[in-house]
Amino acid sequence: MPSVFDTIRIAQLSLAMARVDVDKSSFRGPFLDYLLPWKIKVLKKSVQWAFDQSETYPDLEETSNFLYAMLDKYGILATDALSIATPVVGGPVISIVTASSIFPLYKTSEDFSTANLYPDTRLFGNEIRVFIDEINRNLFDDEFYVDADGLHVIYDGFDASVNQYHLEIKKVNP
Amino acid sequence: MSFVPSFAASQHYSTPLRITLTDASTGSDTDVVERRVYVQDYTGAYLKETGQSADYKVWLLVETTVNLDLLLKDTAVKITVLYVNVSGTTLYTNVQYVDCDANGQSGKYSILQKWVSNPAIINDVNYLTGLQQLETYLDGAIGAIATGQNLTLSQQCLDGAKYMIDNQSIFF
Repeated sequence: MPSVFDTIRIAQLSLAMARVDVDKSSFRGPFLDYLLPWKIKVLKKSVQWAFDQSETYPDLEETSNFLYAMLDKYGILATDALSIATPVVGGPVISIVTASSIFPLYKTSEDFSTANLYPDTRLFGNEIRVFIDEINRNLFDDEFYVDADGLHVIYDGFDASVNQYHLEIKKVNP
Repeated sequence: MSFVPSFAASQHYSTPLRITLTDASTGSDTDVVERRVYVQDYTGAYLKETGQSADYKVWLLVETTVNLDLLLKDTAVKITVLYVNVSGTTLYTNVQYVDCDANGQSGKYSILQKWVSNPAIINDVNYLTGLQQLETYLDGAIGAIATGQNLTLSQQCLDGAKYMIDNQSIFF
């Protein structure tokens, strides 16, 4: 887990990332936590205030960790952008989710690592359904598959490196 | 080197009714023999420590910091420091407007602990809107001072925040 000092820096950058991301996604329905930028801001300010008061301020570390968890993917990106090393123990992500509680997932073309691959290893072993806003339907079984690398979307013409897509990934029989 | 008077005001959560001034002046002027600190609220009234008769408190030149134990609650204040010579004539003046909000900030921090210990509480409309309102009050108090040096408006915001913190069962 990053130090309180580093978490404040990470949150500052994450706030901007979340703000822009939410703005870019404002027309695609209730897929994002539109309050996330505000949540980051209000927590970051209080952690900053407490840290400025005293590094031993009551519950400061716990509150800082909660803030870091709130940052979600933006925290990972900001941590990397700031070249902040995080301890191996516990890893950089502290999302408190179980394998079955990650669904539904809302993803865009930006989340794809290639034209067809959404690289989320957590999907492997789950029976999922994939809805794409742009074609307004679920993908048929022969239009996608999941392996250890993540979700492969293979329906004809799909190219996340060129086109903008919005996906909802649900677990079947959760 | 010419004398440029300056000071910084701060608060600490453990003593939220205290303002601490720290000297940040540069240069020197041997004619200055005393500093006098005036603290006024939004009405212009002078805030005084218990037992203080004059409108000001003397801040000895040998002291880098001075503690002012004169607040009764979070208060937007105008702090004036006069640098006087042996005749009592003011040679320099430094004025700062300060939003003393230690109680409000620590109160908000405490309210946030409910969220830390129960993440789902943010989905409670009362909690969410209450937190947003409190945040607005505290930000407003700072902004009114920083932009416009408006003590009255800042104090109204601080009082609004105080009411919410004192009545958490209503708002949170």
